[in-house]
Amino acid sequence: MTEGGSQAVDQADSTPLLEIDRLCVSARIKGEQFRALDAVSLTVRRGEARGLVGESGSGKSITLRAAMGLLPHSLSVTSGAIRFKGRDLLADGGKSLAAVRGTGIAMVFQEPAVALNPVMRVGRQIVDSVAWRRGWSRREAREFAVELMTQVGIRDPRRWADAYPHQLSGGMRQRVMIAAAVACQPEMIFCDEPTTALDVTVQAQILALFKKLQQELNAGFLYVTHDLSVVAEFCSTLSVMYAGRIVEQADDLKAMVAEPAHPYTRALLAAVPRIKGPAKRLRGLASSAPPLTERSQAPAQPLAQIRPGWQAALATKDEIALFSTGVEA
Amino acid sequence: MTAVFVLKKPIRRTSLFSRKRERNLHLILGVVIVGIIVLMAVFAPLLTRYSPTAQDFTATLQGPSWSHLLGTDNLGRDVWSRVIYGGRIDLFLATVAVAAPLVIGTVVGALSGYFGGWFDLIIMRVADIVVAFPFYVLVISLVFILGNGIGSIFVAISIVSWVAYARIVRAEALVIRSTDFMDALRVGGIGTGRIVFRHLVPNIVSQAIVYSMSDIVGNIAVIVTLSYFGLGIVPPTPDWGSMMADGQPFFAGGYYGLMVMPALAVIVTSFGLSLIGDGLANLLRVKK
Repeated sequence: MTEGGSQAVDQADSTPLLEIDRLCVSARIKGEQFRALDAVSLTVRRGEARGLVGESGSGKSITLRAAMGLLPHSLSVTSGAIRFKGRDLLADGGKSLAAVRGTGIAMVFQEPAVALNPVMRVGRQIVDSVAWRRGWSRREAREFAVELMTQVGIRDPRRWADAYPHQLSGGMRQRVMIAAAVACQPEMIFCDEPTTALDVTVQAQILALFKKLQQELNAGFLYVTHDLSVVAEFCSTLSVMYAGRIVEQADDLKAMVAEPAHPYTRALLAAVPRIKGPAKRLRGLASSAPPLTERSQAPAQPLAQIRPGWQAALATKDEIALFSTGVEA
Repeated sequence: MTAVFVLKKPIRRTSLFSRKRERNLHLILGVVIVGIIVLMAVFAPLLTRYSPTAQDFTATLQGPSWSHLLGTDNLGRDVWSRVIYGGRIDLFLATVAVAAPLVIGTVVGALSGYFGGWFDLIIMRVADIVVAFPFYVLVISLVFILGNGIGSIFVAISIVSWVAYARIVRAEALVIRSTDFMDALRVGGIGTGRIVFRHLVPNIVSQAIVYSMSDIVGNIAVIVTLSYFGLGIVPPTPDWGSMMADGQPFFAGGYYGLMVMPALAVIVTSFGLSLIGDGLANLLRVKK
């Protein structure tokens, strides 16, 4: 036991918190299999906030859902591993996954309006999973809920704890979602576009809250978004997805953004409007990802190492041509 | 004017009877009618001097008078006593025979909808079989097999009517189970049993409750019909159905009250319960 224990500690330092290893997910459409995710690999360490960006349909949400065991029936993991602290979550028929849900990994959803139980008071909802695990009384649970609500910046939490989700504003709902997610003190938090449904002011507040929580919990974050400004604000590392593959990722976000290696990353960054500097025409992407059924079924090539901690896919001639043209928006 | 917005609106429990300024007349009226009838049934001994089963052969087939408000029947029993005492057994049985199918149907329907698969398949085929028989035929056969008595009526109704609840709840469960908030609960690591009964059921049970109001009306009709045919509630226990059956031979002789009074009781009660059902349906529709 002691030996195993010390080994585990050693491992904890070297193994990343979350490691997605060549994950392949396939979709069954009319009896045929199509690759929805193709050898997606990424890691998140303790205290790291990794942005996962890409356009709609690039597979970023599928990556998260696969890691949480929430894939719809039409999708299934065909190969690869998802390791949390070195333990494969997919290996033993969902037992490991069930064990880390909530306590190890928590998730914040995109639409707080539909991700909360509409007929349960938010105070009880926030602590439902903790209270259930620890067998708390109602009063203990309520006290903890109020404490969590204070932590996520809800003013007058005692009053709002008795409210139903529809009585809250969008920002408050998202705060409630976040409070529920951090209730069990998870080591890893998945964020599925948590600020997309919010207006910009509230978005800034929520991001500030995430930053605060990151420092307090020292948790790893995997932050899915298509909003690069959010990434710049909150994340330290970045993975870019296109058509079910990772095209480029780096542990040093700034270096990668400064001189992206893959033409798609370049095109994506060029599409961000800038306020500072000389006025330029906004460039759009020439093409969005082809639908699943029209994608190349050839297995993905391994990523090339640009520098330590920075990989990019080798772009084909077609891709270079496609992404470097761009369109004037 | 200060720049700080403070929400002054108190968080209140929404009242069942009034939502905003709109009053729910159906619900209020229904509750008043049914309330009066239930109170009359509960406090029956205080509202009459006569036992519902006491026979008085010196005063048979009397018309309404101060000593017998609604007159007496052919055995000299006080009709008013029998009507209010009859409400006791009929209302009690109708309510109990709704509660059991409501609970059974909700549990079975929720599990069926949530899990799907072979469990759902089996449950729904069983439901199809039950529904394939005409309701009255099935209930009357069951009471016939089980033997007369309150218990058999209760069992017979339960066996048949859980199906409706199971179907309603299952359909709602199918919708709810694939929503984000169900995913959020699963991700939160909350156990399946708790997800189903603590989160899923409260979200879907309202439809079943609305239906149960009309189901009580149906149950009263069934109970009254059965005892009218001499099945179910055994004489001399007073009940509206057997009163109507007993009064029928005297109808042609001009003693209308013997049949009309219990019938009126059935109609008013059903009317009140239907109003409650409508009121609840309106209330929940506004919510959605």
